[in-house]
This record gives sequence, C-alpha cells and structure tokens, in this order.
Amino acid sequence: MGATGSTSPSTLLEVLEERAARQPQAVALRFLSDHGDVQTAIGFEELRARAARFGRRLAAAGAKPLDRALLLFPPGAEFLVAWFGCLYARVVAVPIMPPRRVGARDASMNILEDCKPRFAVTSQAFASALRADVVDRTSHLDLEWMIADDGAAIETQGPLQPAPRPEDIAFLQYTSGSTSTPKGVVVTHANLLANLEMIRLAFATTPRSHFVSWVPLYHDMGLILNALQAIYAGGGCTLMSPASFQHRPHLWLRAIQRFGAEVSGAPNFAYELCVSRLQPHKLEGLDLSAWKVAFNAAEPVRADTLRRFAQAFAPYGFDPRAFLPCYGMAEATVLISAAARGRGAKIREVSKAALASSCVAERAGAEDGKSIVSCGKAAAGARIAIVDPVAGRRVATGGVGEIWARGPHVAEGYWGKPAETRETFGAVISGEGAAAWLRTGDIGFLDDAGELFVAGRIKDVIILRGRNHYPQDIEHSVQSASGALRPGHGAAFAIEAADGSEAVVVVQEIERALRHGADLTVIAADVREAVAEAHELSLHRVVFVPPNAVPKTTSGKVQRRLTRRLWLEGKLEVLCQF
Amino acid sequence: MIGSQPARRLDAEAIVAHCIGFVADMLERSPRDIDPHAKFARIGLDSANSVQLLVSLEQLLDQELEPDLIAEHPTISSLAARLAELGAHSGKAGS
Repeated sequence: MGATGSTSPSTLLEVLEERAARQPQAVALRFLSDHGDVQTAIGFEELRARAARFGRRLAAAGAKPLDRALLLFPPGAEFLVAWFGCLYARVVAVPIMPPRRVGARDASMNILEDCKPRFAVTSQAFASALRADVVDRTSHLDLEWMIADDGAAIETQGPLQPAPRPEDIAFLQYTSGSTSTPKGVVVTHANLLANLEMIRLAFATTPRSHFVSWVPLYHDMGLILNALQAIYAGGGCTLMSPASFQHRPHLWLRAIQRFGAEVSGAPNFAYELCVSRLQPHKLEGLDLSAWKVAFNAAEPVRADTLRRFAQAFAPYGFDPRAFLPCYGMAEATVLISAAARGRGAKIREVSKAALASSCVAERAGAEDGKSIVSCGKAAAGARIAIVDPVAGRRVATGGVGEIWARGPHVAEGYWGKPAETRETFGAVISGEGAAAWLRTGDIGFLDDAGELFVAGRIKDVIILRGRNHYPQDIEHSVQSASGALRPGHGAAFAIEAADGSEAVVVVQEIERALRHGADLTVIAADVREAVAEAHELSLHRVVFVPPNAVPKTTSGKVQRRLTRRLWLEGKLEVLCQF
Repeated sequence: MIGSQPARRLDAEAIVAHCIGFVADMLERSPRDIDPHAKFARIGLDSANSVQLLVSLEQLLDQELEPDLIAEHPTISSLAARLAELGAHSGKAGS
C-alpha cells in the first residue's frame, strides 16, 4: 500500500494522477513573494494538466525518451510544472542552478558538456539579460530553448506516449561532485518512489501534512525531501526563495504558522541564522506549536545550534522534540537515515581527540568533549554498514569507519561515467558476497541501537550552507585569477569560525620571478572576486606563501590537511595574508 | 519600503563609515583593508554576507531595503550614495 492507499503506484506520475483525480482542488504548490504574500497557488489537477501540456510540447518538438532537458529556473512553482512535464514525455530532467551573473564561470557549462542535453527550459522570470548570456555561451551546442510559461500553443492534442516504467530514468542530479568534473546521479522512477516512501514513513505524515520550504529546487533536499515529498504524501508545499529567507528569516517561521506546516526543514546554518537574526518585534504573535517535524540535513547537524534554536524559540511554542536530524546524499536519491519523529535530537558527548583518530571514546576532560548528533536509523528498507575503507571489511558496532549504504533508493550510478560508477556504487564488503554497496565518502559509526553518527569525511569536500565545495575547484579559481599564482601549488581548506560555521582559507604560492614585483593586495582582491563569482563563496583568508612553501607528497600532490595544520600552528612561511 | 519616512537620515559619509566597520567586523579584517570603491566580490562578499550588510543598513536607517540595491550599486561608496539620496528624497523626518 502506497501513500494514496490504492495498489502500489510504480511512478510518481501515477501518484500525481491519482491525487489530481481524488483531490483536484487541494493545493499542491504555493509560491510566496519576498514579503510573504501568495504569488502563485496551483492545485493538484492544475499541476497535472499543465505538466501534461508541457510534456506534449516536448513531444511535439521531437523529444525522444532519454533525451535530456536542462531546467534553469529561478525560484518558483513553474520549475515543477516543467519537471513533471519532462517525466510525462520520458525526457530526462536535469535541474541546475541558474547563473547569477552575466559571464559567471560556474558549473553549468561543464554540466552541459557532460550530459549533452537536447533542450534547455526556463521561465519568463529568468532575467532576460542572464538568459541571453547563457543562450549566447551555449550557442555552439545546438540546444533547443523553451520558455515553459510563454503560452505557446501545442499542436498535438493526443495522449502522451506510454507512461514511464519504474526502471526508466526520471532525472539526473548534479548536486555532488566537483564543478570541473561534474557527476550526474542517475535516478530512476523506482529509486525515487522508494525514497519518497522511506521519507513518508520517516516523517510519519498523512495526506493532510503540509510542507513549507525555501531550499532551492535544483538541490536534492529542496526538490525531493520537500516539494516532491509533499506532492507524493498529498499535503502540498508552500515555497519561498532562498534569497527571501536569507534576507528575512522570520518569513520562513511566519509561513510555517500561516500555512499550518506540519513539516519544514533546512540545513543547519538556517537554524543558526534564525537565532542570530532574531528580533522580537518581528515575531510578535508567532506560534510554532503546530510544527511537528523540523528536519535538519545537507550539512553536519550541530548540537549547539539545536540547543540555541530550541532556547530562542521556546517562547514561541517551538517544541524541540520536532527536531529530526537526517543524513543522505544525491547518490541515494536523497535520504539514507532519519531520527525517529517526535523524539527530538539524540546527542552524544565523545572525545574529540579519539574521534580524530577514528575511535569513539568518552571525553578525557572538558576541553576534549565534542557533542555529536545522531542522524537516526537507516530509512525503512535501507541498510547501512560501517566499513574500513582500506580493508573493505565491516567494522564492529561502535567502531568508526566509512558509511556504506544499500537499498532500492540507491541510484544506478553516474551518467556516462562507468569507472566512477563502479568505484562509488559497486563496492563490496569483504566476506559478504557480491552485494553492491554505495560508498558515501563520509565517516561515522553506529551505536548499539543502530543509530548513525556522522563524524567527518574521507575526502576534502567543504560543506557551506548545505552546498558542497571541492577544494580543487576553489584552488583552480584562485590560480586562474592571476599569472603570479603557481597552478597546482595552492591549498584550500576549511577552519571553524567563532560561531561554529565553516570559513574557507586558501594558501597559495607566488611565482618566484614575480614575488617582489607583484602587488599582493590587488592580487588578493582578484582572487576573492574570482572565487566569489565562480563559487558564491567568501574567502575568509587569502594567504600568500613563497614557492614550495605548500607541503606536497613525493609525487607532487598538495597535502591540504598538513597545510591547514601548519597554518593554524603558525608554522608556514607566509609572505602576506589578507 | 523605500520612500517611507526613515527614522534616521544619514549622509553618504556616515553610511560608508558604517559599512566599512560592519564589513570589517563580519569578515574579521582591518577596516583599513576594506576599500569602499571596490566591487563587493573583490572585498570578498558573497550573496550571504551582502544580505547581512543590507540587513545592518535596514537597522541603521530604520527602513526596509530590497536586495536589488546591492546588485545595482555593487560598491560601498555607490550604495551609500544611493541610500543617502533616497533618504534625502523621502521626506523630512529628521534625525
């Protein structure tokens, strides 16, 4: 029995059709303006009808099953109409973040080269100057551009082609992986439906449970954990733009109350922002007591943040038992584990030093303590294993190792990348037969109750405001900013800022010949500009060092962790830092 | 909303001084290193910090401001000039 109560649907489209038939006028999606007013409201039947119409438009344009369609939309409900439309036409949807600036050197060009879409779909609201720039930069790729809401008439009126099958690809998620070598996770209808059902059980929602979300729809959390989940489970979703939230965080909380949201979640930084920007005069009359599921995912969940948020918002009726920390990744569609609903966060105090050496132990003293938050048990039908990444053997309960996952929600692999797919999705646990597991690249442990605690990452990825940033991409942008900077001789890493958030530092070698002539102040500004434009990221410190000051292995590979440690300890030879 | 009477009307110089102080504090750098004529990206402000700066200005001037202002006036000095201008045009509410 699926979410709708009838015999199990095999794709999300079937769920949408059923909901459109049973609750046609019920709100599926709402979109709020920057001031919190309802700008758009779409019922289930309207969503179905408009999506089917867009699907026919794709078919009329000659779309064939498995053709890719890039979706570049600013925040709004139109994106979801186009997304479902792609599913109707059996076109593989590829949502990406629309560029913010003219000439922005971000991941979009590399994604285009990787998945070679036939169509690029956007909306009227995507600013014409930006759109013209993207069209211009992609003119060599023979893309067919469509503005989904331009009111173009559709030629064919007939039914769409046969409905997609569970094993068909629904969409690609480019939310993980470096910008220079993006990896598109291939999500089938079966993966999607399996994960949506896991989420429904984890959040324990009913068809009346409404969601509120500002998390971007091109991000797996915003798209699947919020919007698609709300449509699947039946209660619908009220959406806001991420920029609105950043500017006026109280609007998120007001919307939760106003639209009776039972479920709303965000990355950890958002809860922190609500606390730091709390202004009582903006929250008068706020009542958060109906908010039953406050999920927290996409970046490490911090115990301190949860405590501060609970304390700050207790006067407004917030119940800390609503906290529901989760863990997941695009390679597993989205959700891998979730805390039990209504129990609140389970926090454990461990030794910081021991954890740094991959052991779980009681803390040795006040200085050594670190609070870590449980991300709950594996989602229903999903399995988690803690594995020694080198030996490939399962680690004993309570031991620290790499988190591996298995289940119907784990995606097929990466688009067009058989080697990386084998490496990431085809891992085998020594002594346990041929079953294939997903290697998450995250480190953690399972406690006696089977609850997952995430302790860190194997790879050097930096997570900021719920987004992954790969050091090599940042280093590349740094080095491209000036000829005075030695390519391949820089290290980007994160340090913990005073408020517990991550701050990014780059240590970069200057070319020997130029070190005296170069105006380092100007170069530092060039570097900051390059990184801000390419990654939407503010560099905390730009540190210039002489040639060969950045430690490397014998094969010439930059040692980021060692560089970080040396810089923190003041042991690096620094020319100038900004 | 822009155009409603601000409780505080400040001249451009005062607004620049506020911005430099706020940005220096936020980025943990010396005020001397914050160039009011440099584009925000060159100082190292991303969209999240820019919004924080905007919010601090809303509090300083006691009025709501739209994020477009940052995009249209992407340096501290041009933003301050624009805000001072808006303050001057919006009416007499004196400080």
